[in-house]
Amino acid sequence: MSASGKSLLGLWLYRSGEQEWAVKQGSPLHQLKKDSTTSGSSSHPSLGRNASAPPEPPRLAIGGGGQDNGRQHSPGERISIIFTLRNQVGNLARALQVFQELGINVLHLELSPLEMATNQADVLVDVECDQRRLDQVVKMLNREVASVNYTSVNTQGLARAPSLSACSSFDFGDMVWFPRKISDLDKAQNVLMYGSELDADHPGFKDPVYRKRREQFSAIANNFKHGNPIPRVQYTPEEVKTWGTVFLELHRLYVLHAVPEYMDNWPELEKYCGYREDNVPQLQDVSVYLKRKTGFQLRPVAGYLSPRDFLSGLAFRVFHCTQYIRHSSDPFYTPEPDCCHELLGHMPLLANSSFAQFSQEIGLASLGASDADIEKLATLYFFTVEFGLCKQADSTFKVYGAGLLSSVAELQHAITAENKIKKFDPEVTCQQECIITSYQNAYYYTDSFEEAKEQMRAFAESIQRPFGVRYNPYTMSVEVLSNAKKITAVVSELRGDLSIVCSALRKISATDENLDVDSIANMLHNSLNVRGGASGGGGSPCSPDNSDNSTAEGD
Amino acid sequence: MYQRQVSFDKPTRVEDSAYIVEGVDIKEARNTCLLFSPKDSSLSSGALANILAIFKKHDINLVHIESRSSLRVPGYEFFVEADGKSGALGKAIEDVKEQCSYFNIISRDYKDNATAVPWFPRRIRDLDRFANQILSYGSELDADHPGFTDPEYRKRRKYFADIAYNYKHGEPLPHVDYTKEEIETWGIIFRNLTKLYKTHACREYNHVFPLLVDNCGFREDNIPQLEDVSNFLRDCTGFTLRPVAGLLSSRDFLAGLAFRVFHSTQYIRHPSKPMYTPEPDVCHELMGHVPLFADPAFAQFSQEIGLASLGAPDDYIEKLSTIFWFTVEYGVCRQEGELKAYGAGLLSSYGELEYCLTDKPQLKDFEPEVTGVTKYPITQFQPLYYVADSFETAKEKTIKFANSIPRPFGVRYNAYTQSVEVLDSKPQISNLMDNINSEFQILQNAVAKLRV
Repeated sequence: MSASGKSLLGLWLYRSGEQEWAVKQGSPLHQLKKDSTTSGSSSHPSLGRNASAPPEPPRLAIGGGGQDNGRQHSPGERISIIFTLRNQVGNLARALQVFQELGINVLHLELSPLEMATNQADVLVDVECDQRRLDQVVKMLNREVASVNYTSVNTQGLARAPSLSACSSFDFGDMVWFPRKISDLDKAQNVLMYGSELDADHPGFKDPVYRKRREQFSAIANNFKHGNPIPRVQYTPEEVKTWGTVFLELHRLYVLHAVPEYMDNWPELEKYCGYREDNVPQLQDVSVYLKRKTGFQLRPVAGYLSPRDFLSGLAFRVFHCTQYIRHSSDPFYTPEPDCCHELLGHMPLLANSSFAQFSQEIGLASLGASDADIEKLATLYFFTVEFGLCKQADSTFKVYGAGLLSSVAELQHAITAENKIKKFDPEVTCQQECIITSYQNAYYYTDSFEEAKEQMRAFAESIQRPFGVRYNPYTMSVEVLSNAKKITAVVSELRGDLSIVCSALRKISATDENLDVDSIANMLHNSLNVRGGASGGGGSPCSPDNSDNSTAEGD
Repeated sequence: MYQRQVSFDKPTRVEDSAYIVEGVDIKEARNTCLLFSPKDSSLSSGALANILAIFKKHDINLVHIESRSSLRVPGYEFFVEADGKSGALGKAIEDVKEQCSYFNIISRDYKDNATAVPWFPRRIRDLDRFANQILSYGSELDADHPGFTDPEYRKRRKYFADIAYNYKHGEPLPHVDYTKEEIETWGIIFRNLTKLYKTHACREYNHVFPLLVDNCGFREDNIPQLEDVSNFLRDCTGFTLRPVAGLLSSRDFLAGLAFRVFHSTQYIRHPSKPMYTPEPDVCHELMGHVPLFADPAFAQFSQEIGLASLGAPDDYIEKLSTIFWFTVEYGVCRQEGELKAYGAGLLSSYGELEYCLTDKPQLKDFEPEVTGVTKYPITQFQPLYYVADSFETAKEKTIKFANSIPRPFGVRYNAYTQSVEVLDSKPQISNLMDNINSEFQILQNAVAKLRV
C-alpha cells in the first residue's frame, strides 16, 4: 500500500516547473491563474525604470534616534492586478500611465507573453492603494486593455537576489514580498491543492457527505484572521472513530520508536488538550497550550500551502494546520495532511523549545529567499521535520519526523531500512529527491536538535540576501537588519541579556558548589568574541560587563 | 500608581497621599508556593507521599501540586501551592525542609519566613490576581476628592472600577462611551499640553505623538480607546495596557512592567478641576505614559525596572519605586545640550512641565543607588529632578542595580511564552547562552552583509 501522511505535495508541483499551479476556481481567495514556467520572464527593455519598483512602504518606524524614513505614507492595501494587453508595446505604456495619473505606487511589475499569435501578454502589477482608487484604476484599465483581474492576495513572482553593487541604498523593491508582521500571514495563503475540491482519485471523492464536510473546513480556514480564536469543530461520530483507529495504532508504536522529546509532552497534551482515542482535540486548545510552552500558535489552513507561505509562517512561530480528517474508508492512508498528521505528528514536538527554535530558523531563512533557495529549504524541512530521525545515546535511531509519526506503515519502514539512513548535512540533504507516493529513498538522522539547529543556521547564512532578518517576539514582527542603527538596537538588547546571565551565574555559584564555572565562563568568552566581531562592523561601541565568577562587584 | 511598602490588613490610604497600600488578608494573595526536591527524590520511593503526610498532619490545604524532572539534582522536584490561611504553615514548612535537599518559598505573606522570597507572577495571566487588591478604593472616593460630592461622578467611577475588576488577560479592553463632559475635560488638558510638547518634551515623545494622533485618535475632541492604544503599543514594542480601577501597590504595579504590561486607568478627573487630579487618570496615562512606551529603548528600560522587582525584598521595592518615580514619572534628560522632560507626571501636568525646565529645581545625574533613597513630596512640584543621559544608559545602570538585589536567582522574560524564567540552575543558563549566542550569530551575519 502507499505510504500515507505525506505533506508538501506542493513541493512536487513547484519542482517540476511543468504543471500549472493548481489554484481552484471555486476558492474566493484564488481568482488568479498563472503559469509558473512563464511568470517572471524578463520584462520589456523599455520598462527598465518602471520594473524596479520603489521599496516596500515604510512600516511604523520607532527608533530612539528618530525616524528611519523621511517619507510618510498613508497606508494602503497591497493589491495584485493582472491584465491582458491587446498589443505589447503601446498598450503597456498607456496602461502604466493609468497608475501614474492616479498617483498609485507601483511596487512590482512582471510581464509574461501569453499568446504568440495574437501578440497579447499578461502583466502582473503589485500596487499599493485603497479600495476607492482601485475601483478607479480598474475602470480606466478596462478601457485600455483586454481584461483586468485583481486580488489582495499576494502572488509570488519570481525574483532574483539583487547584486549588492547595484543596491547601494538597499533598495529591496524587486525582492520577493514576505510578511513582516504576524497579521501579514493573512495575506500569505496560497493553497495549491485539496482546498475545497478533491481530485478524482481521492478516497473521499465519491462521498458527497465527505466532500461537503471538506467545504465546511475550507470555509473556516478561508475566513480566519490572525487574532481570532480558531472555531471549534463538532466532529461526527464517524470522524471520531477514524481518529480513534489511527490514534490507537500509532500510540502503540510511539513507545518504541518516537524520540523522548516527543513522548515527554504527551501527558500534558492529554491533560490540557484532550488527546484521547475517543476525542479529536480542538485546534484552539492546542494553540493555547503551545503558546504557553514555546510561543508557537496554530492557524487553520484549507489544504496544501505553497512552500514559501508555509515556511514564512514558521518564521513567526505560526504553524499552518488542517482541521479536516482523512476519509473513513481508509484510515491508514491520506493523500494530504489531515488533523491526524498535524495533531499526532507535529504538535508534540512543537511544544519542545529546542525543536520550536529549529523550526523557526527554517522559516526565517525563507523570508525574501529566491525560488531555488525556497526549494532547498522545503526539501530540508521535508527530510527533518517531516521524515527526520534522531540518533540516541545507545546508537539506535528514534523518529521525530511528523510524516513518520503519523503514518503507521512508513514509521515501521523507516526504522527497519537501515541502509537508507544517512547523516543529515544540509548541503547534501537539500539535493535529495522527495518521494510522494512511496517510501523515501533516504532518511536523515541528526545527533540532536541542537546540532540540526546549528547546521540549519549555517546553511541559512549562505542564502543570497543583502540583509539579515531577526524575529522580534515582543512585537511579533520580523526586523530587517539592513543598517547599522537597527543592528545597534539589537546589540543593546543582547547586552542586557548578557548582564542578566552574569548576575545569575554569580548567584548560582553561591549555592551550587558543583557549578562548572570554567566551562560557562568559556561560553561567555566565546559569545563576547562573536559579539565583538558583530559590534566592530556595526560601528557600535560596547562596554560589556566582563565580570564572571572570579570577580566580585559590590555583592 | 504606587506607594511605599507598608503593610496593612486592608487596602488603606496613607495619610497625606493619594495612594494605597496592599492588604494582606485577601484570600487569593495568601497562597504560598513551595519549590523543593526531596533528599530521596525518586518517585517510586514514596518521597512525595511522605511530604504530603506532613501537610496533612498540619492541616494544610494544597491548591496545586506539580512535579517535574529536577534541573538541579538527579530525580524530581515538586511545586506545591498551599492555602496560607489553613493550618500551621510555618511548622509544616520546617518539617518539609528537613527532608529536602533543595527548598524555596515564594509567598506574598513572606515576613514570617526569613528565607521566603515574595510571591511574583510567572505568567502574564497571573496578573489577573491583582484585580481585587484595589477594589475597596477604586470605586470609593475620599471626602476631599473633587468628585466626592458629585453622585453622577461617583457612579461613573464605579462603572470604570467594575470594568477593571472583571477584566481578564487576553480579552479586548472594553469600549467606553465617554460623556460630553468628560470629553470636554480631556480637550482642555489636551489643548494646553500640546502647546508645550514641542519645546518641553524629549525627542522620542515628539516622534511618537503624531503617530498616536494618526493611529489612535488622539484629538482634543476625542478620548482614545485603551484597546486601540494597546494594539498600537503592542505593534511598536510589545507593551500592552490593562485596565485598573485605581491604585495598585508598588510591588504589583512594577510586576506588570516585567511583562511589558502597563496598568492604566480609564476614568477621567473631575471637570471642576481639570488641571488637578489626586490620582492618575486617563489623561495622565495616555498623554503622559503611552507615547514613550512606544519607544523601544524606553520600553526596555521600563521592563528592567519591572524585572528587578520580581521577588525583591521590601526595601528594594521601595527603592525601585523611587527610581520609577524619578524616571518614568518625573524624569528629565539632556538632548542636544538642552533639558527635556520624559517623565509622565511632567508630560501630563501643564504646570509642572513648565516648572521643571526653569532654574528653580535642583538637578542631579541619575544614579540608581542615589536616586532610590531620595525623599520626595507628593502634593507639590518636585524640588529635585534626576537627569538621564539616554534611555540606553539609564537601562544599563538599572540592570546593574538590579543585579545587586539579594535574590538567590536571576529572572529573565521569555517573550515567546510571555513568562518569566527563574534562572537558578546551570541548564537554564546553558539554554539562555545558546539563545544569546544564536542572536549574536544573526547579528554577525547581518553585519557581514552590510560590509559588502
